[in-house]
Amino acid sequence: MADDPIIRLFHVHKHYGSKTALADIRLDIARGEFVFVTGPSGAGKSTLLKLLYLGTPASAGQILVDGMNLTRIARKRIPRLRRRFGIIFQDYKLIASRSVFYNVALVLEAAGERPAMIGKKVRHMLRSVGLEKKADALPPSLSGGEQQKVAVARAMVGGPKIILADEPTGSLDADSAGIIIGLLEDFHTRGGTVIVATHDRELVRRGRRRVVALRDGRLADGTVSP
Amino acid sequence: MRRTWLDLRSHKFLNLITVVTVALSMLIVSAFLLFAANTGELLDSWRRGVRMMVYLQDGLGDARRHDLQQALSKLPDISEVRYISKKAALRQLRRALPGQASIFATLRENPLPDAFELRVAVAAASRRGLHKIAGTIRSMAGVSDVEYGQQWLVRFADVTRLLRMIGYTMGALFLAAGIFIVANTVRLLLYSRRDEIEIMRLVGATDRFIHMPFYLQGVFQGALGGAVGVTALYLAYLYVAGGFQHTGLAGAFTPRFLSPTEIGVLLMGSTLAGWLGCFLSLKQFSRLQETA
Repeated sequence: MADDPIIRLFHVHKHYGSKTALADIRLDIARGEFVFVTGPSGAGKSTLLKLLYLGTPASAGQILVDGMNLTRIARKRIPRLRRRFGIIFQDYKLIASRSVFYNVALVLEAAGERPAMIGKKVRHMLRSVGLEKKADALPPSLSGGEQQKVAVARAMVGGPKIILADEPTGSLDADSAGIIIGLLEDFHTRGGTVIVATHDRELVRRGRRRVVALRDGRLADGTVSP
Repeated sequence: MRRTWLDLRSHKFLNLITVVTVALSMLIVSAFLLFAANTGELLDSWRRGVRMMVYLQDGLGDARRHDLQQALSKLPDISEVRYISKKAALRQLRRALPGQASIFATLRENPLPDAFELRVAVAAASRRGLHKIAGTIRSMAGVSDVEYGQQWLVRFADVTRLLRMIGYTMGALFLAAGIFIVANTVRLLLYSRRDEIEIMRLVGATDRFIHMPFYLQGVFQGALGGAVGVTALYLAYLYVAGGFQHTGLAGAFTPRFLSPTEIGVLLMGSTLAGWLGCFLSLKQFSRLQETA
């Protein structure tokens, strides 16, 4: 069972109205793998990530995530599916009116963690991304790089199995991007699965990882056929 | 609880307006309930004193009068029968009108008839009950007329019943208004926080986790609104009851406030209204999110 892919897509299609976002995607991602999903804007990278955490349902085909079949999943089990992921959104998706601490703690609160543990884990996580002094700050008062670090801290604090990162370095300077990638590498080193959607060729080149390339919603290479 | 407290603090004005509006609704509902309880007791106290006068035909004779008294005593809704002779009636009238001695002096004969004064059981002191008893007695031999001076009481009871019906209707409407107001507040909060709710869903929060602060808020608004409404009514009651002491009714009837059970029912009702308002809004919001 340990050799089973953690993510498996069988002939997955996604349409938005008459527009095809993804067509016939067949893909396996192994446990503990670090994968780059690349392609130009509009290639379907974000849509592919969204399908995995059921941000949107597939139009056809089957998706398996850590043994859960997403085509048959009951609505009440979706939160459990999403807690297996740590998601870093392209637009960060931080709650602007709540503190950095609250934003990170939200994942643990939602998972029913004890308050004493929440404080401990959040402080540890903020320390590891270098934001321990910004715990009480509101996200809009932070720089883009700092907001991205908060998003990374939130994605990792719950101890997910998989991290999905959508353009995690898109709007960051080289130093901040290096820190973010370093955090993702650390997570991967500890056995976590990482999927990074990016159009940053330099990042992919330096990463030396498996690449899943998308073009016009279709897999260009790197496909593992089921 | 912490998230609920944060929400309450960050939307102070909206929550205050909701609590005040629910309080006003509950004040009106509980005022009608208090009115209904007090008028009911007032009517009961008056009904306990309902009397009926049975006037006898002239020259009836002792034997027939005795038979009639027996027959009246056996009627199920009559608790007491007292004979008042025409002489005794005239004496009572003289005592009642001490300043009119000259009128009585000119009387050549006593114009008053012999009569029986009947006390009617409380259960029968309704319009229909009194009408039925009077009809039965009128048909008895030797009876010339039956009067019960409490027709006004019957009319009062009818008016009270009507007011009570209006009260219940108004109460139901204001309760519905309370539910609507809480629902609207929760809806406003939901829409103002829809991005936050979306983020919560994406990080794996369950519906229960997301909805709980809204339910607590709705229940809090309902309970606090109810408590404020009942407290306001109590203050109004103290004021009115103080004024009541100086009226002619003071000896006969003391207005009461709502019983602990009635207060409990009102508070539970307003709390339930808060919960229901929240439930309706969340249901609508979830449906819209699913179709979005």
